[in-house]
Amino acid sequence: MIDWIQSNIPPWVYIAFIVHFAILGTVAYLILLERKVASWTQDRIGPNRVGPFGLFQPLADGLKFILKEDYRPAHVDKILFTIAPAIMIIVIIISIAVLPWGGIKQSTRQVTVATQTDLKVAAATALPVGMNVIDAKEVGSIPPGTNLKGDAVPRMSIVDATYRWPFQITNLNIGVLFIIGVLSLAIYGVVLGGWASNNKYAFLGALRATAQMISYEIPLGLSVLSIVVLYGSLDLNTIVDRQAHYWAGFIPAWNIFTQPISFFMFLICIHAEANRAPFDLAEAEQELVGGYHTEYSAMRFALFFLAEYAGMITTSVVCVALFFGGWHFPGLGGDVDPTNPSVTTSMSICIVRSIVIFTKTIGIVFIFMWVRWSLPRFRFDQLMQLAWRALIPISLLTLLMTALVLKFGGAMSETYRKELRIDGGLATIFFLSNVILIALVMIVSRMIPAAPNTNHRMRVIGSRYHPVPAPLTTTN
Amino acid sequence: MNSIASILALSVDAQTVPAVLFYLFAGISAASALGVVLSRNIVRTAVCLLFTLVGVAGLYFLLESEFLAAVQLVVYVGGTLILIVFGVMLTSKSPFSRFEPKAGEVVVAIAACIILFAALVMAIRSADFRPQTLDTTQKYPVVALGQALLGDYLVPFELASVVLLVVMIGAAYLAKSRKRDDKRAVARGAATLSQKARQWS
Amino acid sequence: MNIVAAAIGRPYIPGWTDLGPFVAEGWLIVTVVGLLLAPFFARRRNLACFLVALAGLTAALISLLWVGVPAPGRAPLRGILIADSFALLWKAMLIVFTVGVLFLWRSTTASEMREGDGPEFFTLLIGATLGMSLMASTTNLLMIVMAVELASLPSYVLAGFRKTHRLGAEASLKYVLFGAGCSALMIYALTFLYGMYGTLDLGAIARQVQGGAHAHPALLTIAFFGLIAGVGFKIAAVPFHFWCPDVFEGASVEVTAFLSVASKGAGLVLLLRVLMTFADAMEYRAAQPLVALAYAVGILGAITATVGNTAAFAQNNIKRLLAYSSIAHAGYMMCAVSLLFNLNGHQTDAASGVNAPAQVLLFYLTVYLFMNLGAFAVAALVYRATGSEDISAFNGLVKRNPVLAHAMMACMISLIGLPPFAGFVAKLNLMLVLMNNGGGWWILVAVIAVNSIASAFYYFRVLRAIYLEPAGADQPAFAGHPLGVALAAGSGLALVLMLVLASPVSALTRHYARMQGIGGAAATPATKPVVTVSAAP
Repeated sequence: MIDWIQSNIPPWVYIAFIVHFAILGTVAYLILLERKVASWTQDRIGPNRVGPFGLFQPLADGLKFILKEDYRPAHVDKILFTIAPAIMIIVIIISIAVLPWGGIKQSTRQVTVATQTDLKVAAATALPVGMNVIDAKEVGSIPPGTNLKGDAVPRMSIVDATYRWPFQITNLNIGVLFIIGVLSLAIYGVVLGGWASNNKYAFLGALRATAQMISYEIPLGLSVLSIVVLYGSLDLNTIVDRQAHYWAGFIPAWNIFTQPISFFMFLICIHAEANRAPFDLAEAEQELVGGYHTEYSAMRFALFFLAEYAGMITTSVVCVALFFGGWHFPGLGGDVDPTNPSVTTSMSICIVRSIVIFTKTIGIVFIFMWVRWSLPRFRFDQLMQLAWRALIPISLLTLLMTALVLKFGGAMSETYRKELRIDGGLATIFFLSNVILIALVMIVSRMIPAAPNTNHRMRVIGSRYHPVPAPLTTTN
Repeated sequence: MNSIASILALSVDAQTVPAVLFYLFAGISAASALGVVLSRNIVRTAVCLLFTLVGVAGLYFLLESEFLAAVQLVVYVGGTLILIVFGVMLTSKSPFSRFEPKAGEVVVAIAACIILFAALVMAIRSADFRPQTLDTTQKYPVVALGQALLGDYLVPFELASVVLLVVMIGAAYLAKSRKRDDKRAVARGAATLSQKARQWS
Repeated sequence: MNIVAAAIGRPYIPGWTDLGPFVAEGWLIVTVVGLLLAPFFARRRNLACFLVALAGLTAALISLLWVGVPAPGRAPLRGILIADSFALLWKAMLIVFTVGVLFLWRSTTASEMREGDGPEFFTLLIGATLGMSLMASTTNLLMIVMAVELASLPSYVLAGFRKTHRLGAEASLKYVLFGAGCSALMIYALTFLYGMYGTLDLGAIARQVQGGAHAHPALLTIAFFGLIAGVGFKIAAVPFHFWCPDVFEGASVEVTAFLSVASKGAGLVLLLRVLMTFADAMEYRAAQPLVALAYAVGILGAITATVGNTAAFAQNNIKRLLAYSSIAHAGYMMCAVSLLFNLNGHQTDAASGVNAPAQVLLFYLTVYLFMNLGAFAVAALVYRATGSEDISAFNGLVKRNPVLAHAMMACMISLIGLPPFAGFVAKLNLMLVLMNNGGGWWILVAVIAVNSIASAFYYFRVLRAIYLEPAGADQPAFAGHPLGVALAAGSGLALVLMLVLASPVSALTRHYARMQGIGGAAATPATKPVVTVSAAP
C-alpha cells in the first residue's frame, strides 16, 4: 500500500492539502489581525474577550456565520444569487494552485523497471506523474524469467532515479499570466451578486466594481510585464530563482531594487483588485450600505468575505515572488548547483522556504491593512484618473525603460547574457533609470494640461448654501 | 509534463482522466452555449457565455496550450465579456431586453440552424484535419510564440496595432459626449429644478 | 543556456528591399499619426486635418509612382504581403479616389461638421483606405482577415458619423451587425482551411488542393462559402446586400461615395486574387472545386445585378437609387470574377502573364470610379442647395446649374453603358471577354444586356427630371461649391476622355493586369515558411 502511494500519488497532493488548509486557516486569523490593526491605528484595544488576546475570536465568528439564518430576499435572481459567491471563492482557490512555495526539490529513489535504452523515460513511468527525471543510473538487474503465473517477464533494471519536482501544487510555465487570468474572473462574483440582488445599492456597487477592476487590470498586467521582460519567463519559480543571489556580496538581488516603480504600481493595483480601502467604492458603506453584498447574509456573505482575504493572500504571494525574491532569504540557497539556487535535496530547506515566503506575504498583507485604516476613500473620477491618466502611462514608460536598459545595459553585462541574472552593475543602472523616470514623469506631468474636472456639482437648490434665488448656472 | 491534465492524472491509467476532463469541459461549453441561445434573460445569457468561454479555456489547457488558455481567460472572459455584461446590465431595464421573435422568424431561424449544423457536422466528419505537432517537451513555448509574432508574423502583428488605434479612435468618437450640449442640458435641468423649488417655497 | 539567447532573441527587422514596395501604406500610417498630432498645432482643426490627409495621400501617390512595378517572383515580408502590378494600379486608383472623397468633403460636409470632429473623421477614412489597399496585396489568410477588419471597422463608424442623424445611427447599427455576422462566418470558414491544410498561405493551400492530397469537398465548400460571405458583404453581393441602401441613405455623401467605390472595389480585387490563386493552381482546368466556384460566383453576380436593378426602380431617393445601382454594378463586376476556368484557351497569357479577368476588372473599376464620384458629387451639391435627396430636387437642373446637369448626364449614361461615354467601353469589354470564354458564359452576357436595358429606365428618370421637368418655384439657380463643381465636371470630362482614349487606357490596365505568382512568366511560387513552433535557436 505504501509502495503504491509512493509511486502513484504525486507529492503535490499533500502540498495541496496543506496549502489550502493553511491559507483558509490564515484567512480566519487575518480577520482578527485586521481588527487588531484597526484598533492599533485607532488607539484602542480591539477584540480581547474570546480566549487569550481574543485568539478564539475567528472561531466564534465562523460559528456565528454558520448558525445565522441563510436568508434570501424575494425577487432576486435565484440561480445567479446562489452561484455568485461560489464563483468568487472557487476562482480564488484555483489561483492558489500555481503559487510558488519551496523552490524545486530534488529526490532520488530506487525503482525497478523493464530494461530499455532510455532509462530516464522508463524511470519516469515508475514515478508519479509530473516528475522531471534528470538522471537514471542502473545499479542492478533482474534477469528475464517467468512470474508465478507462468507469464514471461523481460529483463528488469533496478534504477537509481534522480528527479526534480516543484515544491508547490503545480508549476505552469505561464504562472503569472494564469494568476492574472483567473483572478480576472473574480469580478463575476461581484457583478453577478450585485445584479442578482435586485437592489439598487447592490447594483451600483457592481457597476462601480466592474469599471474599477477593468481599469486596474491594465496597469497590473503592465507592471508584471516589466518583470517578465527582465527574465524572459512567465514562470513564477524561474522568476524567484533568478533573484536568489547577492549584489556586492550581501544585498539580495530582489526586484524591489531594480523595479521600484513597478512595485508601487503593482501594490496599488492589487489594492484596487482586492476592492479594499481606499478603493472600496464598490462597498462604500456610507453611500451604498455595503454595495454588492448588501443582500447577502450568513455563509453566503462569509464566502465573499473569505474570498476577499484569500485573494489578498494570493496577490501578496505573487507580489513577494515578483519583487521580494519569493522564498529567498539571506543565507538560504540551494545545495545542488550554485547557478540553479532553487534546487535543493533537503525537505527541511523546502519547508523553511515556505515559511519564509509566508512571512513575507503576511508583511504585504499588513501593508494592505495599514493602508485601509489610514487612507480615505477615493472619489470615483479620481479613481478613474489614477488608473488612466497616471498608472497606465507610467507603467508603459516603465516597460519601455526596462526594454531599453536591457537592450543596451544587458548587452554589456556578462552575467545577464549568460544566466539572465541581474548583476550589481545592471541593478545600479536599473535603479538610476527608475530615479530618472520618476523625475521625468514629475517634470512632464506639470506640462500636460490638467484633466477636465468631470465631477459636475449640481447645486442643491434651496439648501443652506444655495438658497432659492441663487444664480442658475452650473459650476464646473 | 507539467500540464494540469497530466498532473491531475492520479490514477494509474493516464488516459482516462484527460478523457473525463475533455467530456466535462466540452459538456460545459456545449450546454452553456445552448443556454446562451435559449435563455430569455439577457444577463443569464451573458453568464452562460462566461461558462462557454471558460470551458473552451479548459479545453486549451487539456491540449497543453496553457498560454492560449490563459490568454482566453484574460482577453475574452476577463476583458471582453465583462464589458458585455457591463453594457447588458446598464441597458437591461429597457423594454428591449427581452426578445420576442415572431413564430415565422423562429421557424426560419431553426431551419437555417439545422441545415447549417447538419452541413457542418457532415463536413467535419468527412474531413481529416492535419494535426500540427507541437513540441511539448520544449520548456518555453511562450518564447517561440513571441519570436513567431515578431518574426514570420511581424506584419499582421504590427498591423494589429494600427487596427486597434483606428478602432479606438472610432469608439472614442462614438462615446464622446457633446460638451456644450451637455452643459446646456445641465443648465436646463437646474432651471426647471429651481422653478420647482420656487413653487414649493 | 539557450534560454538566454532565446529570450533576448533576434527579431525580424525587414529591410528596405522588403518594405520598398509598401511605401504607400507606410505613408498612410504616417498620415494617421499626423492626423492625431495635427490638432495640437492648429486652431482650425478640421481644415488642418483635411490638409494633412491630403498631403499624406499625395505623398502616398507619389511614392507609388516612384516605386513603380516591382520585380516579379519575390515574396517580400516573408510571404505575408504581395507586391505586384495589379495591386499597384488598384492602390493608385484607390488613393486618387480617396483624394476625390476629400474634395467632396471639403465642398459639402465641411461646413456642417463640428469643429474638432475632423481628426476622428480623417483618421477613420485614412485607416479604412489603408485596409482597402492591403486587401489587394495579400493571399495570407491572417492578413486577409486583418485587412478586411481594418477596412470594415472604421467604415461602421463613418456610416454613423453624423451623430445627430437618426438614419445615420440606424444605418451604422445595421452595418455593424451585418458586418460582424459576415466577418464571423468568414473567420470561421478560414479556420477550416487552416485546419485542413496546416498553412495560412492561400497559394500553398491551392497547390495542396490541386495535388488532391486533402480534398474534402464538403468542408472546402463551406470554407469558400464563408470566404464569399465575408467578401460579398464588402461588395454588397446579393444575400449580403441588405445594409447597402440604408447605409448609403444614412451616411453623409462623401462616406457614401467612399463606400460605393473603394469598399466594393477592394472586395472585388480581393475576391479576384483569392479565386485566381486557386484557378492558377488548378491550371484553369474544369476540375471540380473550380467549376463549382465559378458557377457560384457567376450566378451570384447575375442575381446581384438583377436584384439591384429591380429594386432601383422603386426608389425616389437619389442616394438609395445610387446604392442599388452600385449593387447592380458590383454584380456585373462579379461576372468578370467568375471567369475561373476556360474552354477555349487560357485565362492568362502565358508569355506576358496578363490576366484577362483582372484586366476587365481594372478597366471597369477605373470607369466606375469616375461615374460614381461624379454622380455623388452632383447629388451632394444639389442636396446642399435644396436640402432634399429626392429625385424631384433635380427638376430643371439644366436651367439652374448647367455644368452639374451635364456632368450628371454623363455619369448616368455612362452607368447605363451607352456611348458616347466610357461606361460603354467598360461594359463592352466585359461582355466581349465573357463571350470569348465560351461555355455557358453567354448566359451572363445576356443577363448583363437585359439588365443594362432595364436599368436605363431608372437612370432616365433622373435625366428626365434634369432636362424635361420645369424647376419649381422654390428651386432657384445655384452656383455650388467650386471644388465640388470642378469634381463633377472633371468626372464627366474623364468619362468622355476615357472613351476617346479607350485604347491607351485599355493598354494601361492590360499592362498592370499581372499578378504575382499567377500565370505566365511571373508564375514563380512564393516560398512560404511553414508555420512551426520550433525550438529557439
